[in-house]
Amino acid sequence: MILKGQNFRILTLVSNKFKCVGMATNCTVTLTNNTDDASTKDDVGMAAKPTMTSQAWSVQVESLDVSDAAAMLTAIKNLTPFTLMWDETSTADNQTGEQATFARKGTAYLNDATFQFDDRTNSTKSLQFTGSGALEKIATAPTYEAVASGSYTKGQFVRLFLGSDNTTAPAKVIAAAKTLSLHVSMTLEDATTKDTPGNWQIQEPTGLSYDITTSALMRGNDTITSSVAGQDLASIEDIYEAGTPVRWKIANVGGDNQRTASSTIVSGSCLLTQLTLNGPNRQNATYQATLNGYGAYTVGA
Amino acid sequence: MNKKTNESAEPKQPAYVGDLLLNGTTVLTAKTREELADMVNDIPANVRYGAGAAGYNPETGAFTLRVDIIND
Repeated sequence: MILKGQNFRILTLVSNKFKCVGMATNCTVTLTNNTDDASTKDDVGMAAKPTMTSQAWSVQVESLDVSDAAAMLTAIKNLTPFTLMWDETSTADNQTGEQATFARKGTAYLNDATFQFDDRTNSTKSLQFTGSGALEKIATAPTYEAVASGSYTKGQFVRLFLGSDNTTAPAKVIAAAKTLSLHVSMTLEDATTKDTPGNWQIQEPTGLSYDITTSALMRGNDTITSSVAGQDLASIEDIYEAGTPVRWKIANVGGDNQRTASSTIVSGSCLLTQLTLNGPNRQNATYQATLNGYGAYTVGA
Repeated sequence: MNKKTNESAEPKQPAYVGDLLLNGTTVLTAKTREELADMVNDIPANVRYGAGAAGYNPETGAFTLRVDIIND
């Protein structure tokens, strides 16, 4: 039987039980043989002779579940390695692993995560794990845990707020915002040495960085009153011109025009590195801001 | 390197929102987004937590928020 994508799933180990990445929409496993050309002058002709020198693996998974954004951001910040597995899952629930002969497990770092919160769109997360050390076959049947029924988050209910400098609380929401993405990246360095047994590459985290990208419709020459507390293009330009970090937060929102922050998901300081203004003919004028993280982010308030 | 396990930490002291014990990972559930925001406001000030994105479960018609208690 040809396996369908919904029955090829990534599972993570949580409290000694393997649990599928919930509400997943896609996954990709990449297994790499790093090679050296071993052709020499002794070989007749022009052909290369690649030989395997080390092996590496990575896993990408996309999901509509952003409810664990805080947990994922904490894991990256704390450099927490994950135990991952890929397996065939039962067609009865698409969740219970079958310990297929191709199933493998190993330890990996979550080294790249993107959370996308776009207006009138289901929010998504995209995670990339890079393996550190060996992949193993599944020798004994693991314990599985079912994924709880998940919740969808519409992007308009998660918004970016900015302050005016690095001390003022980020109280002003980006007005007329369309898109928002938070991208966190961990730099991994190959830490494989002569001491390392086998062929598998070992990874060591060496740095963390993040960036935030948001786009919004340009508004006319109406200023946003302090009672509405929206961040308009003029004040974003002020932030750009100051060229110094400002406080930011990404929060769940409610109230009129979805502008009232409730729980903060993540916050920090950032430097506005690029501001692009665009005015296409007979279309809405827009601007896009890219903000680079300045120092560590804080999960929660 | 400080390698922590991939598990949510236990809170130092039990903390509640209404009758709901905040313990490791807790999912707050409410009928409306406003009610959910009220539940977040009811989390005791001494509890550090990380909130996920609030969601809507079409199967149950409930608004949800995952809260991970931070113990540091």
